[in-house]
Amino acid sequence: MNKRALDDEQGLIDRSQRGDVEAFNHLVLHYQQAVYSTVFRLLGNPDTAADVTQDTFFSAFRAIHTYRGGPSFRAWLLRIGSNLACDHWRRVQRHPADSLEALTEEDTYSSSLADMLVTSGLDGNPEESVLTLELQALLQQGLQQLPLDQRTVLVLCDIQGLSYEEIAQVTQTTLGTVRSRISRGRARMRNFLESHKELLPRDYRLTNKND
Amino acid sequence: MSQHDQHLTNEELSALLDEQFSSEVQEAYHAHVQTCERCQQALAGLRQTVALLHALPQPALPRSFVLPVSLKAASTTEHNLHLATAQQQNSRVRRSPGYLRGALQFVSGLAAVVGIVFILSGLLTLSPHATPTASSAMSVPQSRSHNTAGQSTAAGVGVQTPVDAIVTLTPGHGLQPYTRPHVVAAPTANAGNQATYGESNSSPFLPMLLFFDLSTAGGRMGLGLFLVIAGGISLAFLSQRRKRLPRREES
Repeated sequence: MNKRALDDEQGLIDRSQRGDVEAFNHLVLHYQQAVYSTVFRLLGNPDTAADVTQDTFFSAFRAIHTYRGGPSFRAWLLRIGSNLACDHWRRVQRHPADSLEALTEEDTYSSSLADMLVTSGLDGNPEESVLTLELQALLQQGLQQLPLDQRTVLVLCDIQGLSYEEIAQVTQTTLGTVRSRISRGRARMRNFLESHKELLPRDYRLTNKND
Repeated sequence: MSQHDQHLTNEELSALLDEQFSSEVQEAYHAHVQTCERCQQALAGLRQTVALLHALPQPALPRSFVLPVSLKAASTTEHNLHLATAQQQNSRVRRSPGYLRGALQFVSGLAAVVGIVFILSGLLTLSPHATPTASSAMSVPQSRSHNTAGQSTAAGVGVQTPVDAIVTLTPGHGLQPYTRPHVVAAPTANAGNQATYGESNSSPFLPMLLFFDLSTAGGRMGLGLFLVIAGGISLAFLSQRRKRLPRREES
């Protein structure tokens, strides 16, 4: 973000801290795609992701007076969002019978995938993904079989493009921990993909000593 | 810088991909990789995994997440947010822990109130003009209003035993001295005990409830103090959990 944009953002934050909801909503508009994408990739279900995203912004507004400008505002928001998402995930893991979505997780993903394929690129125009639907579902499945801490850093690093420093702020850990979780997450993801090789497109076929 | 001859660990390769090393170290590692087929393959595999994740499309936003503008002044924000969040939650699967928490808070509050009743009765018994009846009559409005709140809250809650005991004892006839507090005070000890203290001294349970001798004023005050403290602490603990901001737990 350039300095002008940062100043504008700080102005919005200041006004939000004085209770100005409309100012906060400008921040919501700016960050909601990032938060929703992160939460969606963590949980795999669009409806749950929407609920958690809404909760994230409510919580953020309620707690905005605690934002002191240490981490970036994006990291601060994503911290709230990823915490809520992880809390939700753990709750569903403990009581799967209480949640319909736990039973229909995979179906929900692939049926809503068609709606989701058309996403906006940087210029706002719809883009088609280079990945097939099956491959996208496979990758999402791979993410969901990762332990929560590895999944979080992988989503933040390889999908959202955050730096290690920002990821450390989001997860409230050290750079060393971030680094080790990313590497373990990638290795585990690679093993998962290798066991489903046949679904990978030709150019993405994993290199293998035996090939 | 000497050539790095050892194979790179997964973690080093991963960090190399993200350019996490100083330029010197980065160069040395790359130099090794160029001459080492094993590390080359490992790095290539990592690159492909990352590329696949990069290629995942951003999911389309299902709607806007802006907050309702009726959430105005900071002083009422907390209240409005609770209302708005509650409305949001209506459309979702209800989480049963919320009910349990509410029930526990109610019981804690009641225990604290009952403790105050005990303390007052103990104090009043010690003063020359007091009678047990007078003290219990004084405490009736206080306890009964809490009961009403308890009844309406308890309707939707599964906490049966102590609340049922309250409901059966209050309607119509006035407060039996110390009867209701006994039942509520010991939900774990003996919830079913409905013997009235004023009418019968022969019950084996009452005089030594929770190690406090209820036949003496000092015992009652001690029990009352204990209840107030226990109720207060658990109320504070339960309220704190409800309001706590999202916190990360290491998984």
